[in-house]
Amino acid sequence: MIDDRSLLARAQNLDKEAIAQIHDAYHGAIYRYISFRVDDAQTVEDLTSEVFIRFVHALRQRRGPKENIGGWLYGVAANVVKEHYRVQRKQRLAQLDETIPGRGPDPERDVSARLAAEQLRQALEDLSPEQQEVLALRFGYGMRHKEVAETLGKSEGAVRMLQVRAIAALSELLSGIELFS
Amino acid sequence: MTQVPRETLAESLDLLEQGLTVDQILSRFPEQSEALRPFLETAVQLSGLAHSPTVAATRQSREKVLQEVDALGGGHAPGMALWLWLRQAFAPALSFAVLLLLFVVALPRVSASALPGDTLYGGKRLVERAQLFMASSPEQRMALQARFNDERVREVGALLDSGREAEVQFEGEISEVTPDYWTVAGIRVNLSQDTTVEGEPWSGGKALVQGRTQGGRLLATRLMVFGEPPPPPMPTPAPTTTVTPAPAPTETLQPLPSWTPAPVASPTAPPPSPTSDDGNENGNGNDNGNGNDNGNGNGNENENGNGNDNGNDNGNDNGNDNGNDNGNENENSNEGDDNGNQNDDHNENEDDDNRNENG
Repeated sequence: MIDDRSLLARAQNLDKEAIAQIHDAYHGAIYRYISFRVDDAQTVEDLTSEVFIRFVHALRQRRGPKENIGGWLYGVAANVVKEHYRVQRKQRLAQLDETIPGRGPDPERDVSARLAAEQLRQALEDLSPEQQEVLALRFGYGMRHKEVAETLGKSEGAVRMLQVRAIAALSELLSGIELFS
Repeated sequence: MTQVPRETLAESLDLLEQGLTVDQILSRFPEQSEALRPFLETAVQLSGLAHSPTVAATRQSREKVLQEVDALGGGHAPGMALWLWLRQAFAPALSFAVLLLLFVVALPRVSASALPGDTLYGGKRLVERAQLFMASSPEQRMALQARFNDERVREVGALLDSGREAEVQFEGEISEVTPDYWTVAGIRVNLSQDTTVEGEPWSGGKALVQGRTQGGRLLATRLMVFGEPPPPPMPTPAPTTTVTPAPAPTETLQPLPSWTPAPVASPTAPPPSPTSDDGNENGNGNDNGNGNDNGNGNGNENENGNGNDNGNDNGNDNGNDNGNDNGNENENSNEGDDNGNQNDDHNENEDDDNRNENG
C-alpha cells in the first residue's frame, strides 16, 4: 500500500515522479471501475486518463484529495462516467445509425461475448443507482465490502445486502427465475 | 416461485469470491441449486464485465497526465514550488491591485477625451464620481464640480462640431435669451415646443441645460433657471418731481439728524474727499445734500461693517428721502461715497492716532 500522505505532499507541488506513482498505483482500479460501466476499450482509456488529468488540475488549484486518494479518484471516475453517459444519450438521439459489433479475430465468439456483456450492462441500468455503484465498486474497482462501506458511508452489512439484492435482480431480469419476493 | 434465503445468497457469493466454482457451491446447497445457479452465473458474469488495462494503455495514460503536469508548470524545483504557492495564495490580492491600478491610472487617461455616447464615457464619469467622493473638503468638491461642468460644456462643443448625436447636460451663464434660443455658457441652446422651461431667464443668470445634440445643433429638452431675476429697474424720476411737493422727501429727511451724531465722523470728519464729491455730483441734484450726510454715515459704518451692505442701507434711506426715485443712481452714488468715505476714515483714524500719540 502506498503512503498516500507523503505522495500527496509531493504531488501537490506538481512533482512529476509523485504524480506518476499515484497514477500507476490507481490506474488499474479506476480503469476497471470505468470498464465495468463502459463497453468501448478506447473510451475507457480516455475516460481513465481524464480522471487523472482532473486530479492534476485539482492539485494545481489546491482542491485535490487531503488523504484518501483512492476514494477521491473514485468520486471523479463516477462523475466522468455519468458525464459520458449523458453525452452518449444526446448523441444517440442525434444519430440513429447502428453500430456494427465484432471486428476481432473471432467475430462469432466476440459477438456473443459482446452481446452478453451488452445485455448485462442494459440490465444494470435497470438497477437503482446505489445498487449499480456497489456492483461497480465490488466487481469493477475491486473494493472489499469494508472499503465499499467506507466509500459510500454505509455499514458493511448494508453493503452486503445491497450486493445480494442487486445480483438477484439482475439474475431475475436475465433468467426470469425469481429468487425471492 | 422458488425462494432462496438471503443469507444463502450472501454466503454463496462469499464462496465464489473465495475461489470456489459455481458447481462446488451448488453442491453445498442442493435444494436451492436450481434457483441459485443463475444467481451465481450472473455474479460470475459481473466479475468478467470489467477488464484490466494493458501495459501500453497504462503507459500512454501516464505520459498524457505528465504532459498535462508540464503544461501546468509542474516538475519544478522546490523553490519554484514555494513561488507557485505564493502566487496562488496572493493571486486574489494581486488581481485586485492590478484592477485598482487600471482604475486609478489607466482609466482616467484613456477616457479623458471620451464624449457622450463613447464606450469609455461611462468610465470617465465613473472616475469623476470617484474624485468627487474622495474630495477632502467642500471647497475641493465645489472646485471639482466646476471643473467637471466646464468639461461638460467642452464635450457639448465637441459634439456640435462633429455633428454627433448624444444626450447632454451642463450648467452655465445665460448671455442671451430669445423666444427661439438661449445662449448658455456660450452655446446656442435651441428651444422647441417640447422644451420644458423652469424659471424666468435673464441675461447674467445661471441655467441648467438638458438636451440632445443632433446635426450640429443642440435642442433643449429642459431648461432650469437658478434663482430669481433681479427686480426690474424703476423708471427714472422726471426732473419735475423735484418741483412736485412730494411729502416723502421732507418726511424722510427727518431721520437724517440721527446719522449726524455718529461717534467718529462728526467731530473729526474732514471735508468730503474729492471722490466723494464727484460721486455725489454724478448723482442727481437732490442727492447732493444727502450725499454729504451719507458720506459721513457710511464712512463710520464702513469702518465697522462691510461697505456694500451699509451703502445699500443708506441708499435706501436716501431713496426714501428722495421719494423712491433714486434706484440705481442712489446705489452708484452711495458706492462712490463708500469709497470716498473709506479713504477719509482711514485718514481720520490715522490722524486720530497721531493726535493721541501727540497728546
